[in-house]
Amino acid sequence: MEGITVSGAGLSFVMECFRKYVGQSWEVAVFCLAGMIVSALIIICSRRMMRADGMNDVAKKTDSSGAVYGIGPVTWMNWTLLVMLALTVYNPFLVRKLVPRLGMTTVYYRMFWAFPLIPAAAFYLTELIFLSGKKLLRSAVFALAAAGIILLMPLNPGVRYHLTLPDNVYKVQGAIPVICDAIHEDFETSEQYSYWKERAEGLDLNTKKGARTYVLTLPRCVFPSELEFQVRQYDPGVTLTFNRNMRLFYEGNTSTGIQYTSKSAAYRRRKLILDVCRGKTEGVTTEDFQAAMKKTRTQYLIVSPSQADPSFLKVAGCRLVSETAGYCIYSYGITKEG
Amino acid sequence: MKIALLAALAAFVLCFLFLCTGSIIQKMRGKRDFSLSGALLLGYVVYFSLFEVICLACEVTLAPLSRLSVIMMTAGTALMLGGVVYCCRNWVFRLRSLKSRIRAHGWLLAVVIVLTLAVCFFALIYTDDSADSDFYVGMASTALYTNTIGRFDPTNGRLLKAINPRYAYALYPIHNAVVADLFHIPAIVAARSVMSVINALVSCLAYYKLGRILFVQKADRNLTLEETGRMGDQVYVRQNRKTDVFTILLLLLNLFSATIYMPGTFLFTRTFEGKHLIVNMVVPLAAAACVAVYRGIPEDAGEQRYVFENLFFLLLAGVCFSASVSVPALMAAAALLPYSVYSKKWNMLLRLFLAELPFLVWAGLYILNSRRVFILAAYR
Repeated sequence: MEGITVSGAGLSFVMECFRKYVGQSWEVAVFCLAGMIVSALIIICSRRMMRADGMNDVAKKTDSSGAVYGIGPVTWMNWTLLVMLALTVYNPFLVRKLVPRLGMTTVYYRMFWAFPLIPAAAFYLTELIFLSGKKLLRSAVFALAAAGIILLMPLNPGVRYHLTLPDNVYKVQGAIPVICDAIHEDFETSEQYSYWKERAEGLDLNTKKGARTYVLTLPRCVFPSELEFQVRQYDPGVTLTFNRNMRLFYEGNTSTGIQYTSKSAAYRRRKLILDVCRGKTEGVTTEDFQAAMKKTRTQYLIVSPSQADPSFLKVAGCRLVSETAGYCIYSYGITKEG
Repeated sequence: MKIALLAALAAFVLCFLFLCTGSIIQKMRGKRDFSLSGALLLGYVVYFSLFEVICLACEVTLAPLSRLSVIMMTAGTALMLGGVVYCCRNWVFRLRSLKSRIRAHGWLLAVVIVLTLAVCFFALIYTDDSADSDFYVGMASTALYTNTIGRFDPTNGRLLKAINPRYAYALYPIHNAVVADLFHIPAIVAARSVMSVINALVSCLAYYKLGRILFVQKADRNLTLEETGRMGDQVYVRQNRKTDVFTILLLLLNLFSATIYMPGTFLFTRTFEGKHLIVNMVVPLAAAACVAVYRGIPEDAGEQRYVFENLFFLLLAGVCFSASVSVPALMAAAALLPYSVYSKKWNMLLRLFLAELPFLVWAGLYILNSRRVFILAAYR
């Protein structure tokens, strides 16, 4: 999980992860645990009472109180599951050794899915609601429980920040279709496209040469961060200079657990290009920029006019293809046919 | 508008396909009065089990996506025709009793339906520009555009040296490409709208199904036939009401869960991912299977093997959804292994082992693939 490592947290890694997993929804965990404890006590007491009354097995089977057949098996299963998980994947000693070896530090939170916490809490809450035989009381407890959840617990962050209607049927930003069309229109009239298209036609896509040649028939671009992760969902006919992990790292997101240092020439070159796209041209020479563009085979830069330095891009040999949907599209090293 | 109509048609056809698949299996198991929602769920799981096997074979042999689409279209058409011919009477019979079943639920069912529709609506309008969305939807878009299966990096479009073992067996995104190919819609629409809505619906049904198993009531065996009938109705109504309340509370708890790691986030925002299906469908259904075993339902010993059969299909479909299939596999083993030892049901151990087989095979392949004992080449 982000910000929590086994080396940093040590034996408290599991607990730290669990705290981050439930966050402010700790009431769910508390309610589930309370339900499990109370149910276990009820079952133990009812069994003792049965034994004391001298009830045999047949009588137990016909018991319709709910203690044995209602909450019993579910509570027994929950406890078995919890104990087994506590001995294995929630065992701090085992986790400390295994998780780094399996490369699961960033995705350890998924282990908490193995214990269905929310369904268990909902189960005990439902049993609590149906405890009363009176319909009116049941309805009141149900309304109270629902109101308690709605009023006391925080709304899911995904829902809170994304409740808006999408721009189009593709559910991507409106600028993306416009920019992609402009890039294709420009690229498909270039010498580079004609050259590689001709060469790719006779080749088999199942071979390495065929597949690599095919990739060269597609324009390679760098997009601003707000568009980068949507582009290839909409138009896979556009290739990108950055891969996902590298771009996330550049944006300061280390949740993937992958780090890039200045020793990585591939990252250094890409960082330089993106720095220039964002107007950070201080200390960057046009030669370095051109070398990075050539080495990464970047052909199009999509920049925000408010961020980029047009004079630097022009001096470095970039051509303004168009200014559309609030972005400037620059091409580099593209020569037109004729 | 044309895309939206085709997308709606795709969603309808897929739901019908799942219903037919599940109905055929339920009827083959000898159930005459089966539940339509249960058939749809079972059909979904079995369909994706079938898809995993076929798609993996296509991926290994570097077959084009179009071939996979043709195979799936043929299989799907056969299943739909089989379903209509074989199970039509059962559907009609089930629909005839709809009125009485709705009455048994009362007004709570309306709340469940409204909440389910709200989850589906949110899945439909949700816009995501995350890196995960880029990967999973990009995988479908790339497969459709290049007519290949998993051979190009979805995040930047470059040719892979070898298919990444982490994603090589989780072929759910390729299904989105198949849907897009067959219905002539963009892959992003198939992934983020069509399948998202179906996944949201299926997840709600899975939670409902879990509720049905959790609140099974035992009728008193000492009652007379007449009394059993009356009591049976009361028991049935009580189970329905409890299930409805459970589903409502569960959906509310998911909606009001505070962190991005909890199942609620996946239910409301990441329905296009295989991970969502693991946490909101496979885990609840695996939990339902465990509860069924602990409760000893179905009571007929012969029918109990269906619980493990379902678990087998669930884990095979889980392999298709995500590498996180280890979570439900672990959960089922942790819950059922001590139970079978404690209750000395040794044949249950064998059944559990067979049910866990898809996960064990996947784990073996994954380890060997990760350690480069073999690789899945992206080209010849």
